[in-house]
Amino acid sequence: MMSKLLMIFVCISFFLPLKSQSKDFFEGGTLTGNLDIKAQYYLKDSVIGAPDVPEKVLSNGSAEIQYRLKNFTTGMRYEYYLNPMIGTQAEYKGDGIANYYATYANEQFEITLGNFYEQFGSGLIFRTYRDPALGLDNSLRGALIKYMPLDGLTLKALMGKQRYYWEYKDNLVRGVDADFSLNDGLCFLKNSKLQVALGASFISKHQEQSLHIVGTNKINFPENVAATAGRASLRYDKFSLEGEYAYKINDPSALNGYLFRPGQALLLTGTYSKKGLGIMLVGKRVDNMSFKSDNQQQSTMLNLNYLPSTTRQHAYALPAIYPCETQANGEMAFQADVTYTIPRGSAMGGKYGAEVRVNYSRVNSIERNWRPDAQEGTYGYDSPFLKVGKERYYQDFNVELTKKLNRSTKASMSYINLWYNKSVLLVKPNEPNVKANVLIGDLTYNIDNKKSVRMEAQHLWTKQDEGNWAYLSAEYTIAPNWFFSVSDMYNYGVSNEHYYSFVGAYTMGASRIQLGYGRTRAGLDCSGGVCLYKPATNGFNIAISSTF
Amino acid sequence: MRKCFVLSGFLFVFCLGILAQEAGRNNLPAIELKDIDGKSMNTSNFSNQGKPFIISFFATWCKPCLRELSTIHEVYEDWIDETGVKLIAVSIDDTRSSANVKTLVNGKGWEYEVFLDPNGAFKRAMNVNNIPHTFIIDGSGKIAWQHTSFSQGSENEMLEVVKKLMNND
Amino acid sequence: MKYKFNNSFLSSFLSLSYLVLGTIVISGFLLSCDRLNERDYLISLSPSDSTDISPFAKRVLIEDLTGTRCPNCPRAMRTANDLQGLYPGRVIVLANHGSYQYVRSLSSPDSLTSEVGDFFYKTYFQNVGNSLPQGLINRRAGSNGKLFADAEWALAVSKEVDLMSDFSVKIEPTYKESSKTLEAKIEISTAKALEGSYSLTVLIVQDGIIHPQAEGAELVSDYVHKHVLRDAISSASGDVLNSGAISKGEVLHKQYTYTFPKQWARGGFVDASSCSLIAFVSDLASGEILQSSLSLKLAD
Repeated sequence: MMSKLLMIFVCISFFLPLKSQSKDFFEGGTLTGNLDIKAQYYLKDSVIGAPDVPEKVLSNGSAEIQYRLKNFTTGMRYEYYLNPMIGTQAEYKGDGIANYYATYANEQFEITLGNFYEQFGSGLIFRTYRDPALGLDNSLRGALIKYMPLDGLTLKALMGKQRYYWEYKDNLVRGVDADFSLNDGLCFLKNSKLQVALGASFISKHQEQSLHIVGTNKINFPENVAATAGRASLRYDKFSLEGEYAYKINDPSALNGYLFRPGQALLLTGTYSKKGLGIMLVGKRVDNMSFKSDNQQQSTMLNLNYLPSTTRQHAYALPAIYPCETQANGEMAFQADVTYTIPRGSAMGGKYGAEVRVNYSRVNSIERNWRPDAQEGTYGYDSPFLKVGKERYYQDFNVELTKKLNRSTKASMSYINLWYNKSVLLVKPNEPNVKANVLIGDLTYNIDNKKSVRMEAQHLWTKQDEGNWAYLSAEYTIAPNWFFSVSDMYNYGVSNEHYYSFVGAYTMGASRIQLGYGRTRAGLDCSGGVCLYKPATNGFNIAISSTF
Repeated sequence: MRKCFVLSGFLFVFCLGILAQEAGRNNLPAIELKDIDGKSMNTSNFSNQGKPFIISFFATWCKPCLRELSTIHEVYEDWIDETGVKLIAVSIDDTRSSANVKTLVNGKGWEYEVFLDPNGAFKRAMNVNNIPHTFIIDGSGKIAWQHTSFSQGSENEMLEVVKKLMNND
Repeated sequence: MKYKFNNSFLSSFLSLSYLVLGTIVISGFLLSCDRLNERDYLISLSPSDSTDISPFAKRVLIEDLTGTRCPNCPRAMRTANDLQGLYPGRVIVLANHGSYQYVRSLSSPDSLTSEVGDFFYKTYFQNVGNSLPQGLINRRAGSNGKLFADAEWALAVSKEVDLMSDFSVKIEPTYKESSKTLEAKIEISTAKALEGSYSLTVLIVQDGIIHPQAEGAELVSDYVHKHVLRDAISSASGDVLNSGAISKGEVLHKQYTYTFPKQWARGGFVDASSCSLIAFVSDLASGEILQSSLSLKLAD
């Protein structure tokens, strides 16, 4: 830790004498950054299963700075977890410089040394990103080169080692990607109504020293595992069609049962949109596509790729009780979404018009035909590519209507019907599937041009799991600085527990400080299909964030 | 040994940067983004012909963001008439919901320029932690004002800032 | 300033060099790809007949933190059993079933849990977001405190098994069925002079317990549990072994008496013939287990 700080100090102090000598060089430099601090004082609450916190106060935080001068950018991020808060992985305990980089970029060429985040296509074979809420930061530390020789053609090459809490795993990751937008690159297509873009990518990881015993044998792990993907995007007038296909060679791992079967994924999206109407259809197949830089890793860390959940992300509290985590080992999914603006003056639209959104998604298993010798260390199963498995994982039908009632009132009503396979999605075997209906009402009333009130009422009906839930919340904001909210999530179906929350926040420009008190429920916190289990908590919390 | 390598790497890239020419038309970080129609643009080329413009980070699952953009949508035409301002909406939706951005934006009839930032590269470069986060960029391409979170009525403050920048230019 | 192909010779030269460079780079990457034939998936290992089972060869104690409602735990139990088969006589397994406080979803502790097991959970499990299965390998440090995910056990055990210990532990149990009393004599020999402080912990484990166990998406009602931790005959945190320095070749003795109850505190039948003792010597400062031993079944 000290040596890292020393190194950064040396880097910075090297530049200071330069600064005094050559002022012109430094003119136009921009220093920016941001701060994000969270802390909580935990109270005992064994009724909801909140864990004991002997330290009483736990806190996580990060500070980032970035310096830009002409074509050069450098930055670093300091993180601390002293001690890691409930819901953050215990392995983060400590502090240090988690990320540093230097980039040179001009119109044709870009090179980054240090930590970088990058995504190839949809991320089916490669995506490194940061999601602090899940404690996820799978950046690579190494080198990233981007080259744009022609208009519309971008080539990328990268190599690095992946971050794992406070260390970097020895496993080397390398990849290349090409993205070609035909309309920008080929003159004869420049003014065509048909727009075509193509892309291809390749990723490989190198890992030695993995040991797994199966009876009296050990798995012969492939040292180099590679994945490749091809993508295409077509647009014509109001229609668009995008697709990406990914293929990964044999990659026996702790998460796939040490099977040698290759992995495949296909993501297809079609949309039609014009002013006032948008229609989207998504189809996805995932088969054995968990891809990590360490094949023995069983948690959400060290992912090399990103398999999105193609279901609607619900922002409201009650439907979020049943999140849909992507089943990397195999799933077939479908989603349809229609957003429509009912014109002003029509019968349903009223004076101001209204918005309607109808959404349906469905996730099933893939069809697996297990081979007779299937066990750890074998090929495993066969699966016809286009067949949908019989086991249903998730189904969601929802309708949302938003309407401005008068000059100062806006209301929205939602209905959600959920079918949830609890034993697969929440890994609670032998428990019944959950069938739930949710009704949500959301009303915003502007008291004057600075004050407004927003009220939310939600109700979830189900005969399974924890039974019925009711939710009420009220928010009061005084523009531009003040925000207050009171909410309660009440499980009168089974546990009779109230999960209340009181929040007050003050925002000034891009800085915000928030104080709160309340209880949170134990459950899966999901972002995009990647989930982390968070235990229940009760206590006073503070959150400070600022961008400068 | 490793530290020497890192240090020299830094210096190499730094020297490259110092000895280079100006990049881009504004003072924003240079990130390559695609708009909802698939056309690429570098953020350092964002401009409004010398007039101020607004950059608003949002996501299709972020309710306050949608509220902010819907509220501005109601008065956008008036804003354009009064000040000639432009709003560039940058979606941080990742692959899970990025396909839905175009259908949502068109379905709601928004008239903004909308760009996709699916891996958060521009979001990170602009130091955005929580959304909604909105910036007002002045005529010379520098960040003049920024705020996070949204409350009904704060769009009036944004209009005031834009007007002041217009008068100063 | 993008390239404009004015000069046709220059442009074709450049295109050719890009092509060559690209091919080299791409093929370099594409060759970094190991596809295996079916016959190469597994490498056979003969259980080492050469496994050293001399008294000072270091035994490895795997404390399997498990639970009957944990669907991934049978996988870990299989790994532990496979490792015992691979290093016969060198790997000892202890299955510690979590009580309801530490494993979410149970409303009351089941009969495979124990008070001493609760104590170990509280000390090592760090219930902040960890999920089962987890294990302790000779209570040495891993990347998450002392916890090792089950996929990490094979590698950790293979490293420990190469080591020799400064101690050797011998258990001599005498069980009287009539009075259900057990007298256990523990004899600890040392290979060299030692300066540190050490403790001895002696635990009872039971095999052959039939109790429902979650496995994957199913509940196996007649699962046979092995090595289940039942009780401690020493104190749970260990009894101090030495008060001063230990001289080379010194032999330390400890004696315990224990009366079996009619039923275990949390339920479950007591069958001395399916019980064994595990005794281990730990370093008081680090908590690491330096040597352990498994006795034969108590009643024959």
